Amino acid sequence: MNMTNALLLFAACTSLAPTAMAATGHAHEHGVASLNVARSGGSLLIELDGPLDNFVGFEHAPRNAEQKRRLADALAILREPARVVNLPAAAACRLVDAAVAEPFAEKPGAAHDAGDENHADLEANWHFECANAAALDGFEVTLFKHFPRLGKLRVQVAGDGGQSAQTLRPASAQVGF
Amino acid sequence: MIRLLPLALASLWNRRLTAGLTVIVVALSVSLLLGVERLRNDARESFASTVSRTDLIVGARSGPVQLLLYSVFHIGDATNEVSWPAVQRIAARQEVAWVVPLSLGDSHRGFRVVGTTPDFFRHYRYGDGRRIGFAAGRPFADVFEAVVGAEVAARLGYREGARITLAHGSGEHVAEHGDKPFSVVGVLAPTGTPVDRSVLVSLESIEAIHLDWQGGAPIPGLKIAPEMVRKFDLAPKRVTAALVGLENRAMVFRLQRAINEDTREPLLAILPGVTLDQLWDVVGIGARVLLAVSALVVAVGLAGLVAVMVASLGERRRELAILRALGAGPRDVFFLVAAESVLLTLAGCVLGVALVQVLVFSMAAWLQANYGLAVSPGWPVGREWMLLGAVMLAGLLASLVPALRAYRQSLADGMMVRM
Amino acid sequence: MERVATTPGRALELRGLRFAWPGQAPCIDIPGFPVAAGERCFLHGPSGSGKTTLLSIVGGVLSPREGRVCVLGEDLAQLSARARDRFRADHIGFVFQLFNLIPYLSMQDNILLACRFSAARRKRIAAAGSTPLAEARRLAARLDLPANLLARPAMTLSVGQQQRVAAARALIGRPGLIIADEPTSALDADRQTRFLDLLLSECDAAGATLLFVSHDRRLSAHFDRVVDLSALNQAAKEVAS
Repeated sequence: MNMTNALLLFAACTSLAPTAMAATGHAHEHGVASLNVARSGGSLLIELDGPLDNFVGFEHAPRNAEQKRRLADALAILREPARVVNLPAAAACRLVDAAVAEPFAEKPGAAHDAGDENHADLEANWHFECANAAALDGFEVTLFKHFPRLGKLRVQVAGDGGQSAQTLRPASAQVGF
Repeated sequence: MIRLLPLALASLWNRRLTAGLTVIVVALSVSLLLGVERLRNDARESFASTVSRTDLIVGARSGPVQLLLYSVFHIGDATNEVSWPAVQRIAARQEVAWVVPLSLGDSHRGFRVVGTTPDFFRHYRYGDGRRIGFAAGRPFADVFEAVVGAEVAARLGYREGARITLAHGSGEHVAEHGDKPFSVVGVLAPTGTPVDRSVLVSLESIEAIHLDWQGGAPIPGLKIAPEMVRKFDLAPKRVTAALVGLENRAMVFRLQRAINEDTREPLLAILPGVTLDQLWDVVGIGARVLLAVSALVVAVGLAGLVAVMVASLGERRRELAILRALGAGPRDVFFLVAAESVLLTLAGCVLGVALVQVLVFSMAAWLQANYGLAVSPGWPVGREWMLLGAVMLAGLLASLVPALRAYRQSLADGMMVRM
Repeated sequence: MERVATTPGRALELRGLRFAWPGQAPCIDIPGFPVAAGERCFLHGPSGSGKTTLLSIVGGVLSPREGRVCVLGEDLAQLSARARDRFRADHIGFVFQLFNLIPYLSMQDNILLACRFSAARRKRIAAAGSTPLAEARRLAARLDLPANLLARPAMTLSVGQQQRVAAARALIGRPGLIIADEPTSALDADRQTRFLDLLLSECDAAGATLLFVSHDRRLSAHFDRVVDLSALNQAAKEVAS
């Protein structure tokens, strides 16, 4: 019954909870990636961030032709938004901008966590503009089909209708606004 | 078989003492189950409706849940503060539409004092985007003016023009700022949020009452009269947290990252709705455990019902034999005893629902006052119906135990009981 | 289902009837026992003569291992347990020695209880242009039960009143066969006679066959025919000898 104390207890425990990671960046947890979805009217911004392992199966600079090919394949998929998300056709969305941070690129400062020998992350973001915002009531994330090592997406949604935290899995990959 | 129902009712009425006690046991367990579910739901809803249309909450770096709880729900205390220049830097960003700073730490007779700016009344939203309304008066405009929440006004009997003094800190160790009284200039309409339990003053007022203080205590020998404070610089130095609204919500994650990665001051920006969901993922485990325990209590209640029904069969052998002589089959006897058990469960559920209404009705004010939980009486909704259905199903299954026993007993006894 | 009218011959006929409880010697062995429709038959049955078992078989609660049990022209052995229950509800009225009534129901509800389990009884009452309630009140009046007792719970009635309520319940809806098992043994001599008179005259009025079982031979004078169960039941003889 004492909800206040219960909440305080949980608040004290937050350092154990994944929520604390928001402060320092993100958890590096294999099989899990985070997806930020921000929406204002017809503008839709989607950000993906997760361990590189989820997408290519290794987390170091590619050492052979096979690994190079896998990395190139993964980046190619992410650069094609139709293979990442399935937006409702009625919303008439078009891609305005897409950026996929290439890990292990030679440009200094562009690659995140590339210096870390054991961990590397992959980051990407997409910006859509939708002509019919009213029809944009949610969308399906199709990443799981292309990246079988990805088991879970922690989604943060911020939009005109409110904010929410959602968890997607291959079996239930629908983001709702 | 439906013709047996009046007989089942008459039989239960004949055993009304044990039947009544059984119903009460079932009703208490059902009301516990429904009460926990109602509290779980209403708590979540009342928390979720406390803050809306605020895109980010910014505070000193700590845990996101901790920041959410102390800044908006007034639960717990901040361990660190945000410098005023940092707030100003955020406000100056072009994607930011508004910033409402919050300065906590003082109290008035158990209620929190919130130092803020008049923008609070313009931008703070609750529920599905509702604004704060004034029941009487106006926002504070000057030092030593205060606006009180609906519950503060109701409980302490404040109206416009009332004179109040604030205290440093909250809880047991408070030191009165007795030399600098405030006048109440506005009373807010009820919102069902912690705002109802707040005393709102300007950031300058917070500075003013602490001019002659240092480290949480008055500086010995230094006394600055209220009329003198205006001569000092009352610009805020630090605040506890700030609510931030954006011009374009699509930018919220970029701004959050920019604030969190700001190297000038360790800050934390959270999305309140997201953090609340994450908090609920954790609290939800506890709530589910509580619900599971309540379900076990219902199982205990139904076990008691089975025990009472089975025990009654011994003294009802003659009654059941008479029914057999009149042409009732063992199936009729089965149905009769099962119907009695199900009727007891049904009565327990109905009484349990009524009990929850009474409890919620009588405890709503107390829960609101002490825990900030807005619980509402009313018919069961959604999942509560499902729970009631589950209880009835369990009652139906439990009724098979005495019914089967009666069936076998009446097969053996026939029309005549040899006793 | 109107067997009363269409079977003028036999109300009850037992032939080659044998029954044994599991793992025990036969306790019923009756080569033949007919009772004519409308007959008042006194069955003299001391304890140990297999009386309770026989009545359970005739009532259709027990099923015999061998032989025929024809009640009002229906061979009970051919019926399912459910159909036998239904048959008992429709065509047989029972009066036992004691504890005939549901204690917490009123006198009236106890009488009506027989109609609750039998659509056929309700139909017959309707065919006679009456209602169950009116019929219950009529029978109560005929059996010397004051109208002001109708709403009283059965447990507040005297034993004599209770037996008459049981008789009214057995008779309501005109079943073809009334079986009375020691109905008077809890009554004093005066009341025994009065109860018997009422029962006999109401059975006559209803056209019902009466099978009256008792160990008390003094009552047998009122009956058309007296049968000794220990003579009838070969199994009982073996036990006795």
